[in-house]
Amino acid sequence: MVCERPVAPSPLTALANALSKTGAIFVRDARCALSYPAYFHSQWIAIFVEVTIAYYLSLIVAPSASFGANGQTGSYFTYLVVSFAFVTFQNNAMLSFAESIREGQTTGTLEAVLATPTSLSLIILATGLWSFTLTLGRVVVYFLLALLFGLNLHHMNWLTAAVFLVLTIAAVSPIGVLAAAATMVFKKTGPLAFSVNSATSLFGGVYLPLTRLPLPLQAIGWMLPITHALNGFRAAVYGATLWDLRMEVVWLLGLTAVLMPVSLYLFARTVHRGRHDGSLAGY
Amino acid sequence: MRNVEKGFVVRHGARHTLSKDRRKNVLHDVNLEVRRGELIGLLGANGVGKTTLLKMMATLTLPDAGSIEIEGIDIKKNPLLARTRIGYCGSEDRSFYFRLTARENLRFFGSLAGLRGQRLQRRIGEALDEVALGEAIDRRFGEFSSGMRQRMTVARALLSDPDIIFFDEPTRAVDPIHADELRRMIRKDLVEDRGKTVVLATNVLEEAWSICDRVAVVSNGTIACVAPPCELGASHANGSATPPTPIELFKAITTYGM
Repeated sequence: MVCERPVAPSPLTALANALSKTGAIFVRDARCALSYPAYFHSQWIAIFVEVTIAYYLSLIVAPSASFGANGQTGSYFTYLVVSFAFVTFQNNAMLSFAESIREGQTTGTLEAVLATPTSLSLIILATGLWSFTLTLGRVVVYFLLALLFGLNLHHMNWLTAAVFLVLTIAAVSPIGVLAAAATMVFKKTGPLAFSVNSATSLFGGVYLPLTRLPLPLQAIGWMLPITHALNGFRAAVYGATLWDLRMEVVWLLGLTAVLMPVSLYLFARTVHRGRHDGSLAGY
Repeated sequence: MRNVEKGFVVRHGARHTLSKDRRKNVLHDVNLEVRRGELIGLLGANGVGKTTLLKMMATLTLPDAGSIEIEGIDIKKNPLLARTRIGYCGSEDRSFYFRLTARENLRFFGSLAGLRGQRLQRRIGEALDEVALGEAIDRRFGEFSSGMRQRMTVARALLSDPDIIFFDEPTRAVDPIHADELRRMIRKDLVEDRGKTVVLATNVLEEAWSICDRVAVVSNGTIACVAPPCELGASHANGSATPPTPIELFKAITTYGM
């Protein structure tokens, strides 16, 4: 058999290919999600319910400095709205990556996707793209509805908010990749993701400020990306600049820099294990 | 494919978590060279390792030992590059997105195969026409019958117009007329007219005998024999005036070896 020397594509072609594949995964996920219209539209109703709950809860909790940021007193309503809106990034990361893998295992699409000349990193990272875009849309709707209930965004530093949005997505993505790696091995999603989500909601300062928790729990909370993401975004609502929040920025960047390669490596190892023991399509 | 070995761990249930997992060897000392432009059939009893062999060639399963090369590319060292040369038609006919149409499904898999723009659109149409699903292009995959789903897996394998195609029982669940058309398409269009190299795993002996240049019979964890169907018949004739039928040959090879 005559052997031909493989020709590597130019960087531009490789980039165009990567963008095309990322777009294809995004469109697939969007089309699949939109093909369930009742399920898709019910989430907007859920947001309305959550904002309403936040509003009525805030009526029985007095404004406090611990709910605010940047030296300002804050209302519990603003505190909860930012929490509820932002924690969905983490919840989605925990669920969407893992569920995509699980669905691929049960239908056989995972094996078909892995048979294509597409890198594992691209396959798994692009899987989160639609979910994060949808979450972004949800955050916008959260804030629009909250404005009707009296949310004050007059002091908002939009640049800081935008940077923390990107940092949040970057920091929670590795958690999603780790959840996907766990699904590759254990072939199930479920209680673990739910427990982790609930625990991080408590320790990450979603319902109440971290300072109200016992010291050991504060230490756990301080290590979580969601804590710093929420701190940053809350402070942005009260006008904080990126310089004011440099420690949060550094922490989120550092966490992403460490967790991203580790999570991608672990995911690649679990796929390698699946190839070795023939369990890629097993469930 | 040289000196390939493959075994799988047989996992115990939860009641035996402390006992040691057992390893079951499926394939050993497998050697096979497929010539360019050849159609080779893989035959063997159920569970003998035909699908495992195909999956190893398609980079989906890793061999424990030995090496596999696709046009000089070591699939262990460079699986991504190897996948640009191959099309894999698996036996799992559900491996599509049920809520998407045939066009949307193939657009997705075509993009992952590296196709873009006009070429992708053209290839989707051509691939569906080749498996007689052109009219169902905008129907949801979930509405397809088993046979249509099976033909979709063939269309997906043809999408990037690869040089080498692996088919795992492509005519399973397909009605006799479409099965015949698929066989003719594989033999005439792919191999004879376009010079593709095809490895076809099948349980239908007549299929292998009618379209394959050579057949490889997998038995007792290895390839018991590789030869053109007519030569296999002649070598087992034993002086008889009438050559043995495919089923007689298959029984003889899988029971007694070559």
